[in-house]
Amino acid sequence: MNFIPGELRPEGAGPPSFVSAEGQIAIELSRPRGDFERPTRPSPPSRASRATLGIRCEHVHEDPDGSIAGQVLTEEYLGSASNVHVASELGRLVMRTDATTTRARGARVRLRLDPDQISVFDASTEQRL
Amino acid sequence: MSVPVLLSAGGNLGGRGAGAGAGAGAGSPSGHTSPVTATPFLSLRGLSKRLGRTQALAGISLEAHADELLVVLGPTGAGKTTLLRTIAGLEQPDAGSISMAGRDVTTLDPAARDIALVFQNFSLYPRWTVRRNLEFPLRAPGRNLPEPEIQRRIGWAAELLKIARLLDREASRLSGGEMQRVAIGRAIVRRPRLFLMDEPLTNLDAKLREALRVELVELRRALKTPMVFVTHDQAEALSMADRIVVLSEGRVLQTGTPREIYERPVSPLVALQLGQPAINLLRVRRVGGNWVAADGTPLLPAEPSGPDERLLGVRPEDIRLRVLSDAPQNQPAAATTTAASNPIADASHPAVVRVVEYIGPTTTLLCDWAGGQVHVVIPRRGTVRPGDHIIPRIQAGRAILFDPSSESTAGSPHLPSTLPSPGGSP
Repeated sequence: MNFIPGELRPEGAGPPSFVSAEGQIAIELSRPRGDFERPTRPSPPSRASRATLGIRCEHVHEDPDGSIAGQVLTEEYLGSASNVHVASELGRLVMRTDATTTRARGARVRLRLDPDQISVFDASTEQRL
Repeated sequence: MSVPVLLSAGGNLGGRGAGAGAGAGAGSPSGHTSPVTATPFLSLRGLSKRLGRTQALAGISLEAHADELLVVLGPTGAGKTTLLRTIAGLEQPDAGSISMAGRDVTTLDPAARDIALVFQNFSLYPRWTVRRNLEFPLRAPGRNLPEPEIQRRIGWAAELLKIARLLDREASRLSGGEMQRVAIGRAIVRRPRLFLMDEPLTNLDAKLREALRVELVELRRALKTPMVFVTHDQAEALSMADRIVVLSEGRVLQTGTPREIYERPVSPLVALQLGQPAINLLRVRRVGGNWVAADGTPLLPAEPSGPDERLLGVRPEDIRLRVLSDAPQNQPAAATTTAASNPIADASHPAVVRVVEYIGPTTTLLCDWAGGQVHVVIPRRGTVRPGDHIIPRIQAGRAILFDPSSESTAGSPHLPSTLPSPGGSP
């Protein structure tokens, strides 16, 4: 699983969003999945709002319109699939792709995270939010 | 769950790679960059070695290039460790020669070969600190390195392997992963001309193994030093290797890039060593214009001429399927493609799904089909359930046809029990 540090930002009465540490991406956590709920207990904002986004490598996709820029570090060929390690603006991310194409080391790629497949964890308790 | 740790654990080596490369000078020939086109750094010619009653090496010839990670893949007893020990000079071959950088080293003393070995069982001095373990190879008699140089190299290796905070800890108090990092550190501080790795990740837990295999690839790339890496783990071989040498009973079965060996194995024995779940093997004979399984299921159009019997290999991810009936009526699977486009996908010979396993991003089905059992891997969670009838379809161009009488199949203990025999039991 990939982990991206950031924080939760409740904006007014709207749905909470996850924002990465340096503000590169913001993902609205409004989808009716049942998994995302605002913390029921409003603890001290400085600690409680720090969060970690988790996403599995098969839910990271290469997409020319993706919001995350990066460069290929290493491609692990596995036969039926490949793990592509990308140095991204959010840190190192691993993307699972089919093995039919290969990417050169250093190639520039853009990535998209499947918003339906993210998990958000409290950064201090490591519990799923 | 130790959540944020993994990203940083995997995240540092790559970023520092360029700096590390600058530190790795000395012995490594830096003029070579391409692993494929460069002249071989290590060259083995006809190496043979008998150990007791076993012919551990039976005429092995192979080459490793100057900036290459060569993986030797084989099951226990294939001769992998004997091969490494012979390259290192710890065993003398009965026949054959070893050369490094164009020089014959077959009879050269191990120490004079300037090779570093890393073993499966870490082999550190347990009562010594990490620092002392790292210093040890640098203080070997005859090395005469000045003290500041020793400390500089330890600092360099410790930073590269992220063990700086462990330097004053006793080795026996380290975790398995930390011990193996120190063992690798002890190998790299010497700046050897060649790394030999004997299953260094085998004793680590799965998660750590996956993280370390990428780190090791990136570390080696930064050091620009050739590495021969021995393993029985097909995922390690595929993911780490620039090239793979498949070894069995002291012989080289095939050499090539991971993709070449996975997609174009020369024999069923090689095919079975790569891929999880294993490749499906079906005995087929030519009937009309098709390859047909023992129970009469037509599988593939056959080429117009050639032998009448073959062993057909198809990897589980190269089979598509259509759900026929039963259970949720006609709900298509995630991997569904229309069988109508394939004249061979035959509704009169359906497969029955026996086992459905959700394994991470894919789903593995075990099906009764074509007189035997066949694995099919479909992406993600489909709606296929045990008991469903499906029509499997082998993707065009993805089947591999082997000679069924080749020595590598006859009597092989590695053939799976799922191999259908004529008139096989249901």
